[in-house]
Amino acid sequence: MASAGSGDEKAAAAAMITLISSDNEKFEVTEATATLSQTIRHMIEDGCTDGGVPLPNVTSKILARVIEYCKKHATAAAGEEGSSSSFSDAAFLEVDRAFLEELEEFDDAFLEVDRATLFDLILAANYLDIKGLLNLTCQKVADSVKGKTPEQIREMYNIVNDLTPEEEAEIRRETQWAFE
Amino acid sequence: MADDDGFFLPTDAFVEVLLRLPTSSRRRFRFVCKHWRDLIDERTPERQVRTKILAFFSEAGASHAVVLPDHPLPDDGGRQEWTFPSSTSNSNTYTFGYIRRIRDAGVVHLVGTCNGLLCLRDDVPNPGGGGTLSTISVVNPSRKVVKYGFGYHPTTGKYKVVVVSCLPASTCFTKRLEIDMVMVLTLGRPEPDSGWREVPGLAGPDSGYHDSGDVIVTVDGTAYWLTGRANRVAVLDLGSDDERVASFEAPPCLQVLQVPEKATCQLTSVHGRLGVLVTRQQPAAARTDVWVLEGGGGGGRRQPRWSRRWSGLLDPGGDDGLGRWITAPHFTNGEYVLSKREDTRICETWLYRRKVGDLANGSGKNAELWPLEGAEEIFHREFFYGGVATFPYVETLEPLPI
Repeated sequence: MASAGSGDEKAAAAAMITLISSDNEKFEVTEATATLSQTIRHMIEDGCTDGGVPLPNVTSKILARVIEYCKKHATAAAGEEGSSSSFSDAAFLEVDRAFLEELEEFDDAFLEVDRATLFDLILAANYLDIKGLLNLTCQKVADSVKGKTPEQIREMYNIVNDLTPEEEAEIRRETQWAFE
Repeated sequence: MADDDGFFLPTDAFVEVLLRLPTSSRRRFRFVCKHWRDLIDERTPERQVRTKILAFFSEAGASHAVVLPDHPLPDDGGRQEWTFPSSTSNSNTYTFGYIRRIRDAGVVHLVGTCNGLLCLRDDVPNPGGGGTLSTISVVNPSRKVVKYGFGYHPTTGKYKVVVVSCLPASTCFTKRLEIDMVMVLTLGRPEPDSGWREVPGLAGPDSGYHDSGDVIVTVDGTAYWLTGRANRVAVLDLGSDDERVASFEAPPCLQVLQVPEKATCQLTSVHGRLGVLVTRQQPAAARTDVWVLEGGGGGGRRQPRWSRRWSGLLDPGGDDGLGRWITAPHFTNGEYVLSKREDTRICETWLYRRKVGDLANGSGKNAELWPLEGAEEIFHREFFYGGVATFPYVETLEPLPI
């Protein structure tokens, strides 16, 4: 798609990165989008992104979602840079606020996924080292479990309680000791 | 199908989730399984919360809570102090001198403390009596003897208030009371079970309430009190959905001793276990034994295992009220046992502590100790009304589910 042309076109072409999912699907994204991932940023800095970046831990389904997130937030990052260098008059602040609200709505909608997808997103965010996405998804899981009892947690996630009665008694005593 | 995949996150990602939980949830989730316990222990910051001593002075009109620092300073430094005025506090009720009871002022009592949360009770002496608790009134028109307890259940994370209301005693000296009703209230979480619930109690000769202390002792999410003849311990598991009172045998000595004629006894918590202080009057001194529930008991069918952890002489001080006594309901604090001295003539109170080691870990097993010799004074103040009770206190900034 990048044919030899003007310098501008070349620059734009150079700024595109190809990501390859575990099931061999290729995704072309801008460098600004890709570098939300610290892992990919380091690869770009090391100059080893020619021929695409294979991501053997991420399926195309999840990678598509991750890219959706990164595109939105890369725009946000660019927007922030733009506004900080401009006049910070009321109009700009208003735009910023509206945009942040939109971003929040995007994040909320983004998290409307089943639990397996949420866990896959955490795995991808962890592997690709995308701080914002990791924070968003981990917080979502934390919020969904924080009010639960240990028994409810075990039921939710099919966890077998392998603590012996003695170990359980010890935990109780330790918990109690801290607050006796 | 996908939802049944379990909690399969690699350690690093799992730790990221754990770090975003409130401390209270992390503490509770140590019960899920070994993997969760180990990760929480090894990879999340365990706040080293040290329990402090909260001395509570119930006084007509306004009560005072004083949190003592770990290392008491001579100049009162490091202390926190709060005042809790009664809803009917009256500035005219303060009078100098020895006043045991002031009829026209309410008194705020401390029911209990859990995880830094204080449960207070305001006894209002308006006609008909009664008190308020968590904005819920407990009307007490017939001068019943009402006992309160406040507990936190570690695995369900629920805070509950227990109320045992007893029929009026025939004489004011009797300690054997007949229970009229046992009620439980779950704090916060407006659920179908919100509000006071009556709980099935015990029946037969081994029921009743032994009136020895001011509050119902809660340990590890379970409320305990001694039955009328003090030969059994009534137990109410605050974590169970099926709330009912069960009972098990009190320490063997209480089966033999005549309580309250020859001995007095009081429940307490000893390093996260239920303890019973049994004090026998002897000439010129009182011997106190500390029994600790090692296992069994509870609502289960297992026999309770009691062991005598500690024994010592106290100086009852004769009739002048100068004796020193073990404090309650918070009797052990870390490696210390607490004691108090109340001089009713000059209206002054002293608190002491003495290092004895971990009473529940066998190091002090059957040790003969005189807790008051060499004890260190940690607090001294004047008091007007009801003396001092000690409670455990931890400072917390955690949001509480209330």
